[in-house]
Amino acid sequence: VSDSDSADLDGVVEQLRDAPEFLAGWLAATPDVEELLSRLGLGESQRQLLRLCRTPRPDRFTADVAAIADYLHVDALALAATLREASARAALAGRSAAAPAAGWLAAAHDTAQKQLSGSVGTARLRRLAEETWAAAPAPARAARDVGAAVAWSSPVAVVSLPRLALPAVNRWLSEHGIPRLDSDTDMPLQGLLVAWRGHGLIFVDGTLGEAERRFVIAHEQGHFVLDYAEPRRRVLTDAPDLLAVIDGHRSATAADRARAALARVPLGVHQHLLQRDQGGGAALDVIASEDDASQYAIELLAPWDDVLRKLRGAGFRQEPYAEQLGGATEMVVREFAVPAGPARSRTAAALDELGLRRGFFER
Amino acid sequence: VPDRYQEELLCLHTALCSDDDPTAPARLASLLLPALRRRFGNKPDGGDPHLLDSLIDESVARYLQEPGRYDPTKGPLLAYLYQDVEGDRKNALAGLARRRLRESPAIEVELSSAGGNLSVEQEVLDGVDPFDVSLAALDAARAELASFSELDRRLLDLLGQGVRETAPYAEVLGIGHLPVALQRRAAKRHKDRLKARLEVIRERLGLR
Repeated sequence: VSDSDSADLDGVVEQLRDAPEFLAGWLAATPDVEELLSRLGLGESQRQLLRLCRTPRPDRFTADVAAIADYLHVDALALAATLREASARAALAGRSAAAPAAGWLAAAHDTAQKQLSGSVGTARLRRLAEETWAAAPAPARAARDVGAAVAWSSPVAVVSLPRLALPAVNRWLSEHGIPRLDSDTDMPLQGLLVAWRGHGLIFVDGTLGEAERRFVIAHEQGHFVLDYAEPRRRVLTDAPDLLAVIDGHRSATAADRARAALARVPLGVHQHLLQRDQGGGAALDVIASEDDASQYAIELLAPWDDVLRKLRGAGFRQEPYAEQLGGATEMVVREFAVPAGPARSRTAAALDELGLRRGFFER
Repeated sequence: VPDRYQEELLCLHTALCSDDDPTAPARLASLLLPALRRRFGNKPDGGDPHLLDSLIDESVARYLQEPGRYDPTKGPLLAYLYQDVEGDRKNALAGLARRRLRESPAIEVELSSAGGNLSVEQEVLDGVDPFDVSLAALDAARAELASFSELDRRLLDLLGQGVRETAPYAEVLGIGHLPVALQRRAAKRHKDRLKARLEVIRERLGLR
């Protein structure tokens, strides 16, 4: 279809603007959607054809997006990321900054060095990380492309901003018709997640090196999965009517509160994780959330079983522990493209699992 | 019309009905629209140069939203749409003629504001939308769950729990980012679709 044919499609596209089963309707609520679609490099007629496609179904997102991308000859990952950003922008644009509801999450990742507490991970985190990778096509899995895994697995978009800080995020949100955050502290950040009505935006500092960038994206995805999507899934399963309260469609009644208590799903299910004291410190629950998100991130980037397999084949047994740890950490950094700090924590835990510990005279 | 073209239309129609291929509506629109515009190129339009294009757009959009209205055993898709547009065209011209005859003033339609209190709006809309699938039909559906998609199963779970609010359905459908009115219409369409499917199952299982 050439560009000259696009006018032929305009009328039908217009007719379908109220039908979210078609991308014409699904994209209609996104502010500044033309700017977003222009990134795909589609001509006018192709954009209209895109709008005439069925909206990818949540349970078959990967296959549906791949089919549409193949039809329009665009990169499937770029299309997936564009659709994720479109829905996230539309969801966040509907948030009322004046009266934030319980189901709002904002989680910041500052520039302080993170120390992973254990780095063995848990079966739950491994399962969640595996689910994230399972949603991505085989080439993305093989390349360990964490940005792709996020885009394919969750309604989350990644936005890169130079010198990330809250004022820069607020500027971006305003430019895209989205209410600003209630904080504007000019503290440098590496990453930030905002989530509302089931959709999220991850902001990442564009000046980070590749390994750090991957870790920050994985960490913020951890917040989305652990602090947002999982509690939300529990509400949908155990008390689905309460989702309207959490999403701010209506305020909670006494009956809702009683029901939430019985179903053990707190109405304030999502935490606000932006608060820091003047010294940059955070409350204990925030620290716990940060630690869990980092554990998820390392599980996503350097899966436990894969790390063990690599170390088993490396033959470190004849060396002193410090050299074993140093060499193994370098290998994990190289093989899994993760920052040195988290890599060292994970490597130490993996060596321990393999029975390689610091000797008595090395302590 | 060449057979290959008809075969392609029929194939795409089947894909549209079964919801297998998300590109089927776009492929169909790009085939149907030029053909219909050619067929109606010389038809009288009552002096309104946009009339025929509008009627064709509306007809194709209606078909894409409800492809089950077309029965392939009764004739080719293009003929069905041609009849649909032609009927609308005749009605439009007759209406135009009556209006001109009466020389009546234009009817003013006051549209209600799109704004307002979303929560109240949603509560009222949800309240007038009872979904009365019987438990027997739901049980029959559960027995046939293997034929339902993951998405349909999750919708059926909500129906089985008697959930009336739109938000959970919107969450499952992945349209939670859209305005409430749109969410509600889409949720209702899916409920109606499932209701029809449950009816078929109920009949097949002799539950009627």
